[in-house]
Amino acid sequence: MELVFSALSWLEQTFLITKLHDVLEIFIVSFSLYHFCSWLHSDYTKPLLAYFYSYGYAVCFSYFFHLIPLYHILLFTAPIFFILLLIQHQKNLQKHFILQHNTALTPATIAKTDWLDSLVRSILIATHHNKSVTCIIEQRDSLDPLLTKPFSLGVHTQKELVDILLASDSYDSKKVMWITAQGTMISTNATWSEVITSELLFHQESAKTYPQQQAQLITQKTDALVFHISPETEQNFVAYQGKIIAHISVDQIASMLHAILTHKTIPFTFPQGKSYDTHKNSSF
Amino acid sequence: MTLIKILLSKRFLPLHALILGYMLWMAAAYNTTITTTINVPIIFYNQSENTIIESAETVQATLALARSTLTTIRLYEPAIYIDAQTLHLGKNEILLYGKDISLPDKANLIKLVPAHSIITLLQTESQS
Repeated sequence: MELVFSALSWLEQTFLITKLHDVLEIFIVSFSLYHFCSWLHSDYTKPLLAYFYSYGYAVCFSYFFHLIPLYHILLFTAPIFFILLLIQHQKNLQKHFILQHNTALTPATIAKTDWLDSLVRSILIATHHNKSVTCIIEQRDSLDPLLTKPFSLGVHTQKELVDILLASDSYDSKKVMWITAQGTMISTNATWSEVITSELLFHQESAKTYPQQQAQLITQKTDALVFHISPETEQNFVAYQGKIIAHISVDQIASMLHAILTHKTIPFTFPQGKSYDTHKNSSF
Repeated sequence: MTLIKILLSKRFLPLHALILGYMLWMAAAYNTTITTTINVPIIFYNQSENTIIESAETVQATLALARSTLTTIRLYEPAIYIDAQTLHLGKNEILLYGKDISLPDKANLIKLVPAHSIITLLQTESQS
């Protein structure tokens, strides 16, 4: 009991907290702020959390340093600031309202990623025949509104199947191979829907960077993973959460895909724009 | 990873929430009225050299004041001052009043415990 009293006395003298209900009030405010900040942190396209911290600390410091005009200005503009935060976060809001989440099939074990190695190996063989492949891996966010598939496969990714599809005359390098994170191949020759193409209409820079722009846009809107492997290593790229890593080797692509799909730390540590591949085409 | 990225990471989110939460709460509660209890010493003045005073050393005073004055209240060193010349030999029952305590303007006395103090004035033998 003496310890409680001495702790309360210390709190009173240092933090001006006189009663236990003051502690409860501070806890409630901090808890609400924590959840709000967590929601802001989930938007990986813009540093909304940094903006909020700057605003919050500016309000507090202006009050305690008696910068009364600044304090009042910040208070009066608080509704505008929060509306701007909500608007900037709208991509995340739209994603939750428009895109449905894939319901988990509750597999008994963690999804195996050995299909990934066979897929990348098959793609690498295709690049030796001057074919480039763009592949999109769907995770929790459904890509049905954003991609148009000519047919549905719905089979597990296997090396022989991918070899046959890539060797086929009807395979189009400019279109997308659509696979789920569990290794189920949904379709090949999938195309971007009007939602994506119309948004890119005014932002297209060049035909060369068009695939990267498409990938960047779709990964900003969803948690999908896009990678492109071509005979020229300079055109390889991986896109995730709106970020593009270009000019990387097939080995690096494979390791990044493994890391992302097994939910390890996202290895976006490679500097962009520089090739680390000493050989033109690397192999396993 | 730069320092800013570390501070903006999810690991530091609870710390930022706690700091911001406390600062926002303090900004809202800084001028609210609170009650606090302090021990106020009883000080006698004009005491004769050949007298001894027996009394309680302190009384508990419950004050109502703004939270912002909580740190400054102790600087005032509030005390109850009693003129020893008003006491007679033997037991004296004194009723303690709020006006006897030196407090800052923003603080108001709610109650004193005990409200009555028994003070005994004894005379010692004078030295020849």
